[in-house]
Amino acid sequence: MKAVCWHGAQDMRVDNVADPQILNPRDAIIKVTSTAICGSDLHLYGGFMPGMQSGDIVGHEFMGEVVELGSAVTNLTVGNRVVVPFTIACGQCFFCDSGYHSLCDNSNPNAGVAEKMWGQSPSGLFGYTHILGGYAGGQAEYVRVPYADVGPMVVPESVSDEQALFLTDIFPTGYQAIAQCDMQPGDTVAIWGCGPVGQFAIASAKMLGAGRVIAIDTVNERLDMAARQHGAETLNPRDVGNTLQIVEALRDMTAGRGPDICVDAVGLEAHGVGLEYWYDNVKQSLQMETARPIVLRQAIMACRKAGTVSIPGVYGGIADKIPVGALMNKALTIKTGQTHVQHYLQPLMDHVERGDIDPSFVITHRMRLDEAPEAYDMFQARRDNCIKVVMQP
Amino acid sequence: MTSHRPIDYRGNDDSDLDSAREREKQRALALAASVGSLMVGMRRGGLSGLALGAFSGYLAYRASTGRGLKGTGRSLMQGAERTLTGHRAGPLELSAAVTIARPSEQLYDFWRDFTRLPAIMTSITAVEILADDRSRWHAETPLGGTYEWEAEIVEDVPGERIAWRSIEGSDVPQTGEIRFVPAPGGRGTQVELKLRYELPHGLLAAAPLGFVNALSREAVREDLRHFKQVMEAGEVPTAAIHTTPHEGVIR
Repeated sequence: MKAVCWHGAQDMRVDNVADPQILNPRDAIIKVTSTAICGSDLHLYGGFMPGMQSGDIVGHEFMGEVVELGSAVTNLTVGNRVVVPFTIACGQCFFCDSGYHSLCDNSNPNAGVAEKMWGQSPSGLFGYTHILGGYAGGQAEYVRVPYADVGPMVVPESVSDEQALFLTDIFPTGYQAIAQCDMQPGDTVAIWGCGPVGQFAIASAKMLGAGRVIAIDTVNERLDMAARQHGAETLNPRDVGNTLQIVEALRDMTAGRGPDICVDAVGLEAHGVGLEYWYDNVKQSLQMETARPIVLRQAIMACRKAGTVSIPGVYGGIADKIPVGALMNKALTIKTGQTHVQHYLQPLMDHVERGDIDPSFVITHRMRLDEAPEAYDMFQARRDNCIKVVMQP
Repeated sequence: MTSHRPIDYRGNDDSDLDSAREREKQRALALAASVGSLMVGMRRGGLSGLALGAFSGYLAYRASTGRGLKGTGRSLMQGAERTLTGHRAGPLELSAAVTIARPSEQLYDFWRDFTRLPAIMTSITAVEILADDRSRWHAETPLGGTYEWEAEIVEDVPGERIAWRSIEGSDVPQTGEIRFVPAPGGRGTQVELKLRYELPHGLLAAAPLGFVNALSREAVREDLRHFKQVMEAGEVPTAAIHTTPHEGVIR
C-alpha cells in the first residue's frame, strides 16, 4: 500500500509498504477514505519531536471503511464507515473509566520510555513519536486500529467525510481546551494560535457561551477566518509587539481584568518578536530546551487572577523561563493534556448531525495522498493561505 | 502475616542523603565528561573519534545509572561485572510493583496457573506443571540461549501471596514472591513482585547465558506491565510493523 513516511526533518515521502495485518484480538483494519495533516504533524516534519525513526508511517486524523476485524470486536461489521480517535485507549483501565482516554494505562507499548521522560506514560497515539508507541499512522491506504471495540465510531449517513473527519482530533481538541476550564457565562476567552485547533476552540467557546473571544495569531488569513466564522475579535502580535505589549493590549481590551481563560493552541514552535524569540530559538537549536514557550509565557502573564490557562498545544520536553511567579501569585489554574477523544466523540457527533456546526469550514486544500510531501511543505510555510489539508488515498 | 510492607527501592549502600548527593555529583561529572568526549570525538572523526564517541556513550551510561566517574578505570579494566547491570556479584534482588484495576482474587488465579505466564513474561518460553507445588521453567535469552530450572512453592495464600524457590542444582538459583494487596480507594490491587537470584560467580558468570538482560528491574517492570495489560485490556499492546524494519535506537 501507499503510506506517508517520515524520513527526517523536512523529509516526508510516499513509500510503498506492506499492508497492515490484524495482530491482536481487539484490532480492526480500516481502508482510509479521508485523512488530514494536523498542526502537530508539523512538529514531526520540523524535526522537533524526539523519538521518531526513519520510515515511520505518520498521520493521526483519518477515517474510512472497516475491512477486517479481530476476533474480539463484535460491535462493528465489515463495511462500517467509521471515524477513529487519534488517542489509542483500551477503555478498561482506571483512566479510561474516568474519561481520561488520552491517559490510558495500557495502550503504549513503549510506556517504559515515556516513564523515563515524563514520570508516567500517557496513551499511545497513531503516527506519532515512539515515546507514544510508534504506532503506524493513517496517512496511508490502510491502517491497523487497536482496541477497535472502544475507539472507532460509526458515522451516520447524513454526515459527510469532510464533516466527520475532524472528530478524530482537532474538533474535540479545541472543544476540550474550553470544556475543561469551568467557563462561566460572559467569560472572556483569549486564544493564541488560530490554526485548526484554535478555530475549533473559538467555535467551541462561542458554542459553550463565552461572552467574548479574542483570537491571536501572526497570520492575517487565520484571524480573518476567526472573525468571519465565529465573530471573534482579533489581535496580531506583529502589529502589537513583544510579550509585555501583548499582555498590556489584552489588559486594555478587558478594562484591566485580563482574559478569564487563556488558551495556548500553539505549543512548542511558537513565534514571537524581538529578543525573546531569538533567545528561545537559539536555545531550541542547541537542544537546551525542546520548546519555544513564548505563547505559554504570554498566556500566564495575561490571564485574569484566579483564571485558567488551558494548553491544547503540544509540548514534548522542557521549556525555560516560565513565569512561575505570575502563575503562583495570581492563583492560576493550568488545564492541559492530549485530548480524551473517545469521551467527546458522541456529544460532538450529535452537534454535527444536528447541524450546530459544520467542521468542514477549516478545509482550505483538498489533495491526493501522493501529494503529501508538497502538502507538508505548503502547510509548514503557510503558503497559499493553507490552514487545513485533507487528502484522499 | 499479610500486613503491607512497602517495597524498599533503595540500593544497599546509598541509603542516606550524603551518598545520594555524591551520586548526583558523580552523575554530573560523568555527563559532562561524556559530552566533552563526544564533542572531541565528533571533531576528530576517524577511528579515534569513533572510540571517543563510544567512550562518551559509556560515560553517559554511567551518568544515567548514577555511578559517575568514580572507579571508571578500574571497572573498565577488571570489574565488568559491576557495570553489566549495576550490581555487584552475589545475591541480586529485584523488585517492582504495579496497580491493576482488578480484584486480587482474579489476579492471583491468573498467576497461580503458571502455564499462562509465558504470555506476559518476556524471557519465559514455557512452564510445565510437575506437581501441585512443583514446576519446570524454560527460558530463552535474547541471544537464543536457553536455560531452565525447577521451582517449588513454599507458600501459597489464595488471593494474597505466592512464594517459591528453585530446587538444588538449578542453572540460576533463585527465590521469588508475588503479593496481591488491595490498592487504596478501591482502585484495584497492588501487585508486588520480588525476585532474588543467588549468583555464586556473579553476573559475569551469568553473562555468557545472556541472562543479564532479564536481570534488571526494567525487565521485571515490563513483565508486570504485561500482566496489567492482559488483566485489564485482555491483550498486550503492540505497534509491531512488519513492513519497515525498525532496528535503530530511539533518538
